[in-house]
Amino acid sequence: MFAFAVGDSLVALDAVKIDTTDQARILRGGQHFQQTCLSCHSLVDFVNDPVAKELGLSKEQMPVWPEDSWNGHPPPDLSLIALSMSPDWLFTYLRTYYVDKARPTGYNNLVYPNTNMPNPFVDMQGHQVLINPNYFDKNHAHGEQFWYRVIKLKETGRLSPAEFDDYVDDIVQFLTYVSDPSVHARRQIGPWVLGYLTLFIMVTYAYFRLVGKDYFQSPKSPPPH
Amino acid sequence: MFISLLITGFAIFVVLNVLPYFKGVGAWIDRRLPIFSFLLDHLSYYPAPKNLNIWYAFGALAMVACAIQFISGIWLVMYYTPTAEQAFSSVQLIMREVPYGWLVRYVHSTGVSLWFVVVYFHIFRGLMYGSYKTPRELLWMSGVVLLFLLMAEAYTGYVLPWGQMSFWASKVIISLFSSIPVVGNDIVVWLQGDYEVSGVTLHRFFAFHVVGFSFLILAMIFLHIIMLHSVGSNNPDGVDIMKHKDRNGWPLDAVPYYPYFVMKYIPIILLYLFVFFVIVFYAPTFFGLFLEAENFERANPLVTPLHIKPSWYLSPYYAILRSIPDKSLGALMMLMSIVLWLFLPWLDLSPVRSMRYRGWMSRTALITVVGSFVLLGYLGLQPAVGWYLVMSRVATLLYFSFFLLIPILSYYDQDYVVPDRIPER
Repeated sequence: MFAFAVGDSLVALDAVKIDTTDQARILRGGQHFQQTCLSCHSLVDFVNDPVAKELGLSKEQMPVWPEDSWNGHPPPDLSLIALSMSPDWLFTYLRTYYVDKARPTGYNNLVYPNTNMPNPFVDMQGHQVLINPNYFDKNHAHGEQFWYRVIKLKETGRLSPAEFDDYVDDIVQFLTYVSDPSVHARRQIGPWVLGYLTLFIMVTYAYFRLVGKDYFQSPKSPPPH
Repeated sequence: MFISLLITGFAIFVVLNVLPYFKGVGAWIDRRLPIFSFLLDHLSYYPAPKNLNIWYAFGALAMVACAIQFISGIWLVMYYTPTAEQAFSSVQLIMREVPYGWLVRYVHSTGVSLWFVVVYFHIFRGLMYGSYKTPRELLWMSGVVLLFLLMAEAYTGYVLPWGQMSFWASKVIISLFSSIPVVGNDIVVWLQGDYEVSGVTLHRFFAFHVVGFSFLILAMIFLHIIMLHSVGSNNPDGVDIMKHKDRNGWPLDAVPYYPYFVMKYIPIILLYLFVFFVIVFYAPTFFGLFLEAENFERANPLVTPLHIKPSWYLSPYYAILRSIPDKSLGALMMLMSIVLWLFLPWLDLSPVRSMRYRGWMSRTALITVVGSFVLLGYLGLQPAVGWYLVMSRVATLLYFSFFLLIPILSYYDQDYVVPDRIPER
């Protein structure tokens, strides 16, 4: 399993707006996931979810990697990735690959430097390169710079930049749902529980104001026993 | 969960209101099992000072929080598997497959954080109104022991999901025991049940969490309440209400706890539940503070996380540990940061209880110790480098200076005159 650690990103993370009510988008993200991610990454905990059933995801499709495959870094299961990292992290990570001949895969990443994952989106996104090839020689690396000030698109792929952002966004929406599917039930039950409590608070507080206050003004001691 | 709470409430209501009217049956049972007179003694005949304010609700809230943890805990134990291979996935089983498992788990994880919030406010109230002073010294000490037990319970529970932070935090805490001279290393092996933190450790922490500390906590809460009810509640003015009683021996400044304060505190308890469920339904991880991001990754003994940090409620003590360069001394000071509170009743020499009638010196001391504690809590979650380290050293110094200075400050402070009776407002 990878050693993920939040905070070692070389660039600031882009904010992504998560909309858990957009079911169509989650399903679309799931389809994208099946196309681009499922060949290496599993979602073991997710297989019994209704959304997984709708997508046709099954345990048999999930890849299983031995511990020593991929030079000891097998692709991790992504069931909880949006919680252990963050949606923002995923959204930025998947879009900040750049050409680096020094890496065995030919690509490096700004958010997760020296990542072992090959760039999965070469044909869609195209190639990104460092704006200044000597950027890292001058010890610039820190987390506040925006990624688009460090790398630029050299060669466009099958999708335009806006389409590609949408594509990745869909996947992030899907993975966020996967990491905690209880979100639907929570949003559904939440208002009822809170409404019930609000009503109950109002009733008991009104009772205290109307009845209890009088008692406090002229307290009665209990009968001796 | 709601249903069990409602049933409990209804049962208490029935016992208090209906059964005493069945004179024959009620009296027959009561002679053999004094349950009704016990409840009457501790609710209807418990003289509560009439000026108890909202700060006094935190004691009742702590009981509610405790009940929530016990009830939700029972359901979690039904599905949780305490082995290194299964623990992490059994938590996911609870979250995804068990009907309403997510609710029970989020209630349990939110519950512990809010329990600490409530307990810290409860302790602050005790400090503010001098509830530790004579005759409540043992009551205060049992409270300090309870805090310690609660921390042990929370820590052993934190290990159970077997995520990265569970594993590494338990490693850090267990290694502290190795700084005990002579027997330290043996204690570490005994605690771990192994030469490393492993599945065996997880299994015994499960035992400590579910049976060990939880029952000690119950027993200690029982003692805490027995002690409270034998010496009586303090009040915001720190006036001794037992001095002035009517013919029947009822304190003039007291009202029966039931129904007066029950009536007053029920909306507050419901408000607590409201906040509770806002978090459960809309922010269960509470921005990574109640459920840390790192802990959603399975425990991996080969990969150390970048920053090992404790849960927020233990971070002040962790900040003290890190601010002292020597590990053994750090562990000792961490222990002392709680143990020293045991002696507070004898360190505080002021004849006055409540801060309402204390001079500026005592007030400054209180603000300093509370302020430094909060600051340490923040710093414990940050990496111990640069200014963070300097600040945590200053805060540690301020925190411990309280125990050195409070005898002097409280002795020389210019206190105000405490009234004989609770003043009318």
